[in-house]
Amino acid sequence: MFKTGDLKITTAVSAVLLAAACGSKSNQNAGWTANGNTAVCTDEQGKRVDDRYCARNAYYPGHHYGWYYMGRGAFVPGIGGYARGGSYSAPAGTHFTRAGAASVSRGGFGSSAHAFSGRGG
Amino acid sequence: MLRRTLRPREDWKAKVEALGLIWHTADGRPYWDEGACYSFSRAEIAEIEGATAALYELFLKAGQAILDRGLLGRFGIPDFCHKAIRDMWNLEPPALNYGRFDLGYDGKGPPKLFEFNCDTPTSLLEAAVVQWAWKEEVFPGLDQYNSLHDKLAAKWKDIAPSFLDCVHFAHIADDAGEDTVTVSYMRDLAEAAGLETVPIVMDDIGWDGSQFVDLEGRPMSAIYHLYPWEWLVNEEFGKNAVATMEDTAWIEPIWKMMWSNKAVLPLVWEMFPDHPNLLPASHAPLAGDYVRKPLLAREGANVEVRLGGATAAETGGDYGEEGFVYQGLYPLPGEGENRPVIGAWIVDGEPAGMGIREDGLITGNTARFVPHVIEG
Repeated sequence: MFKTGDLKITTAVSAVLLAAACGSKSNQNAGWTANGNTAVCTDEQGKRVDDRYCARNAYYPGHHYGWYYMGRGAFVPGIGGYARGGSYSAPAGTHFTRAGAASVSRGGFGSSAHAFSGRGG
Repeated sequence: MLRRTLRPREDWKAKVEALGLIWHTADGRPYWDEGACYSFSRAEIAEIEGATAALYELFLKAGQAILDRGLLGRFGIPDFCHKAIRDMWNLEPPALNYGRFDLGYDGKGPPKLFEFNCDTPTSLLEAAVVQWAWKEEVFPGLDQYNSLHDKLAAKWKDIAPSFLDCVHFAHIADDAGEDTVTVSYMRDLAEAAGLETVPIVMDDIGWDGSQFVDLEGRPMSAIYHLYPWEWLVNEEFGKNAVATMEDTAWIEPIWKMMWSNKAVLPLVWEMFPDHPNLLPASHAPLAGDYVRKPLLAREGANVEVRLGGATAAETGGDYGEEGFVYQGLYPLPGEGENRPVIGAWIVDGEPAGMGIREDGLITGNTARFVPHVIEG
């Protein structure tokens, strides 16, 4: 049978969550979200592609590539990932930094949990 | 089997919170409900234990039959998963192989299977830890049917040598904390077995083009997930997960898609008709009273209870797209919102205890966890 000492992580995590419930929610996304206004190059489906496709002099017949602008805190997809939560037009007077060659894409899991309210079996 | 009304401990909230159960109240009503308990005889527990072991044997045979007869498509499982399911079923990668059979039982006839939750079974901390601590304090002289903590701890020790690197524990960051804390409990069990564990929120899992990586870029070679397979495979990274199946130890493995799918219910009934622990089940409506359930659904969503040709109870939800199964109605004992469903746990083929949830005709997300004791 369990002893209290067997529940170190359980009790520590639940205590933190209880404390957090009284205040503001912690930012679960810290570390990989945009830490400033960020632009990524996307194809016509909103999928991120290499920045060179959006270069000023680039021309690819039959394709439409364009910069996609996202604010601080938005999810920055890797190449092949879908960009969301931003806009194809940059607000005037706002500076955007290119995301650079991010090789890791994130956010490819978890969408069902956001669509459904419950998960438990 | 008796339901006893009790006076909850004065400081029950603080006591269960101290054990990690912070989702003890939902919508102002207790979810952890120690205002009652169920009392069982040894013979009744032996019957539940025996049924649990017997049902597991039926599921082993049903799993093989699903593959032999090529039924994965009928289960609504996407084609690109079929080979991986077959391969992993045959390879038997390291896993806990745990689950919870939901049973109807009234202490008179044999326990009857409602379904097998073996992909993301919850109410784990409640069953393994919180109800035992309650029993030790309130009824120290009585016993409880509960070896869940010990059996899971032993299973982690058993599979620990398979993992050369850390094991990642993936879950959603749910508001109630239920998933986060349940996964933390699993981490405690894994660390006791000598493993290094790393928690990660599902949305944070990264794909670097050839493998999954965590927030620090570490490869994820072993992933415990409290996140159902039918969601994993249908999301953006789903095909990546299937393509790298042989390099990643998923706990539980993808073959659990066969057992957690309710299409398995008509199959086991067809294979073992009139088995004492099964209810009639079919892909078509049954004659008489029945329950209609979606192939894939959770927390009792989209379930309909038909009594005398009319709908007696129904729950809403977003499931049912893959189709439904129909199961003979088992008249739950009790009345009103106090109708118990037995959650009989199993770890790698060994019965491991039980937890009881009470609700109305349909055991849904308003169910309450009620502890139990063995007397005599």
